[in-house]
Amino acid sequence: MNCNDIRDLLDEYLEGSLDEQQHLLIKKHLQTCSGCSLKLADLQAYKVRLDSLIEVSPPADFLEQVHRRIESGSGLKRFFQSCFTQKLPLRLTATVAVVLIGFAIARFYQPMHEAEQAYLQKEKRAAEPAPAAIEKQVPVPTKEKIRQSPAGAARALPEAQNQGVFSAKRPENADLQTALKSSAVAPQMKAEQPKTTSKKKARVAKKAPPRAPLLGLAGQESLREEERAMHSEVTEADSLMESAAFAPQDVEQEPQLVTLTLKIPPIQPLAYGEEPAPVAQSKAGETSYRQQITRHLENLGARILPLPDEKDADEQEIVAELPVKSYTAFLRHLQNLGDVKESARTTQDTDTIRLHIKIKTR
Amino acid sequence: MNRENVKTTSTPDEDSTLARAATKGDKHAFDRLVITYRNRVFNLCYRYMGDYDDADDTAQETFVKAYKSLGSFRHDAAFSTWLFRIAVNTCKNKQQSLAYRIRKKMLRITGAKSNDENEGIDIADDSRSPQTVSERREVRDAIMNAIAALPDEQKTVVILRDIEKLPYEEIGSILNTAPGTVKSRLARGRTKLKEKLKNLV
Repeated sequence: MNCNDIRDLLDEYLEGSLDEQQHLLIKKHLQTCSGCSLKLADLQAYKVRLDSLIEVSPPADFLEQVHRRIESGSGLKRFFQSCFTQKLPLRLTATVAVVLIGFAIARFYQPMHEAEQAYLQKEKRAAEPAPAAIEKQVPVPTKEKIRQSPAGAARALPEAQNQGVFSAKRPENADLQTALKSSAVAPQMKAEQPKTTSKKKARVAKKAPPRAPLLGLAGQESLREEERAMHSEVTEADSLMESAAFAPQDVEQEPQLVTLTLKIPPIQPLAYGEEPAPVAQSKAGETSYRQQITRHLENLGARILPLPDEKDADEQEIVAELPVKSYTAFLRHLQNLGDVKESARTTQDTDTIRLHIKIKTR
Repeated sequence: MNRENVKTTSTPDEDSTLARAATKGDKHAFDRLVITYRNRVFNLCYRYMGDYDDADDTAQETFVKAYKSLGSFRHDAAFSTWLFRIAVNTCKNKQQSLAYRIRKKMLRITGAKSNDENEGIDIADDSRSPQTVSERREVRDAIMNAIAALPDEQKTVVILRDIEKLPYEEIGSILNTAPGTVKSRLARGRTKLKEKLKNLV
């Protein structure tokens, strides 16, 4: 055993934890080695110094304090307690509180903000001109065109659907538009947004049909049958594209669209006892016709829709949704009032028919 | 429970039995463990933290943690070893906490000496004259400050070996290190401490 080995064991030697043989060996070495004896004295002095540290007693209520802390339970509770007993620095506590409040405020206002954005977008859509296809006022297919289009429409339809039917951007090709409008996907995408939808429907009813070639009443039924046969898929996609132009969630089954142009003589007896002034006679006459027709529509169970834009609101126009079963009766009523021209009807099976009635004086 | 009537020493087997009973919900068994070890744990925390209030808080936290972790005590080591391990880790965490460091910094800035408040708490001071008392307190404070200034690993082994007189093997178990590592850390810690204390009377 050399001096380093001896010095490694001096601690245990002083402690008396060595076995007897090692103890005697070290004791013998220390009698002859002054360096190791010096190390031993140094260690003894160090230990004496540390032993001067006096034992302290815990407070008398230590056990009760431990009980209290165990029973006070959750760390969260103690955290909040410590916030107020200043065991955590107030600055840190305040920072955490500010961050938490910030998150809470941000979370509270976020849905409001999104709702506001959504509302503004709807308002913007309502205010801006109709989407491109409607702006162009694609005519409702004429009889000839309807006969030509199915093949092209059928070819274009799947491709267009793959490109994203719900995109707000609409294809430029009129046939393709027509084909897309007629997609059978529309009924599946029905969503309830009554306010926006009714506005949109009114706009579509007003803007899309006007330039459509008006067909005579004669032969309407046979034409409808032909159209139904040739374009059963086209009409459904039509409603889809009309909806997709605004928002995908607006897509729903569109009613049939018919534009009726009523030509009336300038002076007609007024309904409901109105007595127009001579200067405004013509206008008042139209107004009274409008009221009369409106009342009749209501009697037939129709829902009168507001004209989409107040600036464009024209008293000579009525937009309404009428049960299909009452349509013939209403048409007969109009024919009694004057000459009626009826646009081509879209022919999907819907319960209601949307009428856009224009009253014109000759 | 009247602590005067409870013995404050126990064998590892007794501790183990009490710990098992406490695990099963015997609160009196746990109280006996607290009473047995509160002085040693408290002093360990006091040496480590260097402040009576911090020692009180840390020692209480040690027993609370022990109570909540009794289920994980596997009885493959002595209860005291397991308890001291919790105490050391609690002291380390406490000292490393931002709150503790800021508080110490503020005490230094204001010139307050936390130990001054606790001078009268020491047990059995046999000194007679006020001058001797004062000198001894200065020496004790100097030793405490010197220990507190040691690196964390060296401070831990110095406290456990030279103050708490624990054997190397138990220190190794508490710190999850080999006894050889404990010895080398202790040697470095002692050298530094002697250097700091050599000017003391």
